[in-house]
Amino acid sequence: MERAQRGDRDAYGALLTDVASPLLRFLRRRIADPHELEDVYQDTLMALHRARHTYDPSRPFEPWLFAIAHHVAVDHLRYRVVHMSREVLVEELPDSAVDPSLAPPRLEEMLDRLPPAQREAFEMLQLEGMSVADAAERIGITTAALKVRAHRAYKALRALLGG
Amino acid sequence: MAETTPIDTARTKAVVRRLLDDAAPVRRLRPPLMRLGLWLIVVAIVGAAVGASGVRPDLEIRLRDPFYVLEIGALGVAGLLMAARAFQEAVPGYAARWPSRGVGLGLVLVAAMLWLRQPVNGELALAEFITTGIACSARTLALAALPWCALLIAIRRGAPLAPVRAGALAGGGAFLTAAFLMRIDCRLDEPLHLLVWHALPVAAGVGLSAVIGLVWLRRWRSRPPR
Repeated sequence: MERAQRGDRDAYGALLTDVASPLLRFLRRRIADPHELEDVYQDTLMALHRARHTYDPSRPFEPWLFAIAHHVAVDHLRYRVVHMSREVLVEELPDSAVDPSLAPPRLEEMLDRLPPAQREAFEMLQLEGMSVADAAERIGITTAALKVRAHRAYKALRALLGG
Repeated sequence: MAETTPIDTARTKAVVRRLLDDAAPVRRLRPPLMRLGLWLIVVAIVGAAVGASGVRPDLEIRLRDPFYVLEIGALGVAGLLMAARAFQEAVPGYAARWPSRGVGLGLVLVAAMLWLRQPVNGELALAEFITTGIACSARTLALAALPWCALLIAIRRGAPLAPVRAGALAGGGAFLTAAFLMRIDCRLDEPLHLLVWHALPVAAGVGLSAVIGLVWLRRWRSRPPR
């Protein structure tokens, strides 16, 4: 950890590999659901990363690590309890989640209603996940012009969704 | 087929890659004891300002009273212990070797009990009680302000896992130190004056500091690392 604090990428990588199993064992005792466990594990790694400057090499590493893991797990459980208490359980699920006549149009239909330039900007940025710079380069316009097109597309879609 | 653990998923691997890409050198937090020492320099500056502006005229006589010495000593040590615990709260997993928080609270109780044995001056007019009291409260706040801000900023540099507790301890450290300085500054020993105008600002300061902790000190998990 001391070397990781000094910016040694390899040492940091080795540390994250070393802590993986004990960390997972620790979290498994608190979180049963595998999907939640994955989220909490990742959150713990990120918290460890953000708190890495607080580790004092003259003190043992495990209490520091597990205190962070415990904090993240408790935070997660608290969040889950708060959200579960707001959910309403029903006896029977409705046949359809919403009345089809009231449902918003599908994305495809909404995109068809956009001008081609706006649709293209939206698809590149949101569906293909391209960066603004890459998307602008592909169609040969400036990034500012692309942002304007994307902004107009978002505005039009919001209007179609009734927002 | 081997079971996929959260370590092996693509998402986790992406997170680890991102953390490694962001593995810039960090400035290590100094040990809590050293940080406490630096904080005491701030307190000493405030104390020097109190000394320069003039302490209570009967201080020399009062210092001959062992109960007075015990009382201000209890306040000073309680403030110091609270500040020390606040610095420790900024380091995850830092286990205190002895129950310093409990001892600090005990010392506060001792100081409060000693206040109650002061003679009651029933002739103090209400208007005077309020005007002198408001001045004392304002002065307590003014004396606490610098050590309080310094403590909160210092804790925020760390990673407090219990932000409300860390905030309350920071408030306790700063306001009890201010209460200690007020006892060598304010010439009134009236129990009611002390309980209302010296103790209540400390309690309010601790409460406010806990709220600040809840709002401000918890953000270390979402800020970019130093």
